[in-house]
Amino acid sequence: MPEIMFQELADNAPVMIWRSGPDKLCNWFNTPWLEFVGRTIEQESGYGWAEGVHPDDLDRCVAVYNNAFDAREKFSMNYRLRRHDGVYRWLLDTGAPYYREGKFAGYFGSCVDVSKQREAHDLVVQALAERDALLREVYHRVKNNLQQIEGLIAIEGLTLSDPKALHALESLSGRVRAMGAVHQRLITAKNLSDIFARDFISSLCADLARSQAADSRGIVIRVEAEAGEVNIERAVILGLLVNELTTNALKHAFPDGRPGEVAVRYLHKDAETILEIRDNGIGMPAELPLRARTEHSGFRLIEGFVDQLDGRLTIDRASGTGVVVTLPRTDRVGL
Amino acid sequence: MEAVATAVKGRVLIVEDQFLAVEFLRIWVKAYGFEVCGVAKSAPQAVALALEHRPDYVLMDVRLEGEKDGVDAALAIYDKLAAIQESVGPRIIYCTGSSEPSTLSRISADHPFAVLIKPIEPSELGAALLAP
Repeated sequence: MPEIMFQELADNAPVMIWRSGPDKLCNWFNTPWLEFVGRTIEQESGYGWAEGVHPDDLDRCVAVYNNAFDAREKFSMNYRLRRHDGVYRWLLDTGAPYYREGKFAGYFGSCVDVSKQREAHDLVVQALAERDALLREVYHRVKNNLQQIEGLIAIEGLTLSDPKALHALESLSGRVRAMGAVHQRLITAKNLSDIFARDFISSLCADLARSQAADSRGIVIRVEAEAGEVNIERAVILGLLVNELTTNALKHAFPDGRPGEVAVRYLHKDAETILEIRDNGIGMPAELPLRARTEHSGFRLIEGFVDQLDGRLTIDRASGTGVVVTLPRTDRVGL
Repeated sequence: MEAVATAVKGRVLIVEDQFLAVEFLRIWVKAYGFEVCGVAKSAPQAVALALEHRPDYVLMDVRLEGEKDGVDAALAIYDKLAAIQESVGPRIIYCTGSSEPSTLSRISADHPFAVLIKPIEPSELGAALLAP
């Protein structure tokens, strides 16, 4: 290719091109570069080009260049460069070392104006941040509304004296609180759709211990749970299951001031997740199903939730009572 | 339990993936004198149960487990019935949490018998079931 064609290529290719020598100093710029900055090749040479870099980007820009240069590595970076009309534009600058007859000869770099993409990107980032703030606000309101529902239930209880009715309201209140616990966690959740299983189950069990006066009865709730995250939909159902099963254990396994322990486990095992609520209380006679120790609505809920999660329910009566819910594992890709 | 047995007014298939929503519908469907003949959690299950039980009504949630939604399920039920030269299909009553125009226009493309917006008002469910 004759030299004039190289010149044609360099000056007409729609990218801004620069070249530096082995001394790091820039020694050539193509016409698109010079037209963009509206300066001469003499003004731009050496570190002259750096005068046009936005002051906020300059240190980073020079550091990236120098570090890559010293390591003879390729680099790619964004920075703002002042255009001939004084407007700063975002450039994507990609540089790579070049060699002449096997000997390091300097760097070539090419730049494209990515301001439009950058603006679009910034808008998306801003919109996402606004969406997150809105969602947190919504979770906050959902949580508050659930607390208000608890208030409504409590007020309703003031007018009742039938122990069965009061008990039903108490159960209802506990279920609403379990749902609120999910939203409490969601407000501070990183991605606003998943919460940490261990934190969630621990705080839920702490609430249950308080409401059932576990401490003063000498009953300990021990939680062992995966640290990983669980999706909101599943978390609500899990929370309700933990609430039902743990409440059952606290209410029925330790009569007459009997102390003991309730172990709540949420653990992954191969392709399954096991939710287990095990107490070392009085146990249930072998012939009695779990139903017998559970109020009717509670058992219906347990069965329904397990079914919604495509799980299965087993009871272990070896010592005390263990209720094991086996669920398909959802935290791994492909499962 | 009612001592007097009353005739069942019709059979209803509930298509809904949330247990508590199913229970709500089940309680009110029974209260209005209808029988629940099945519950499906996904579109394919809805199609299978509709063909098996031939319900008079399908209470169809739009958002379901899996890829297909309730509108897909309703269309598939009618396609399958047409394929076996069945001229009468179930009345589809959509129950949707979304009143967004995109969802509603998708539903209306399938000639719904009725559309109920969640939270479902029992009297509206009753009116839809008891409509001539």
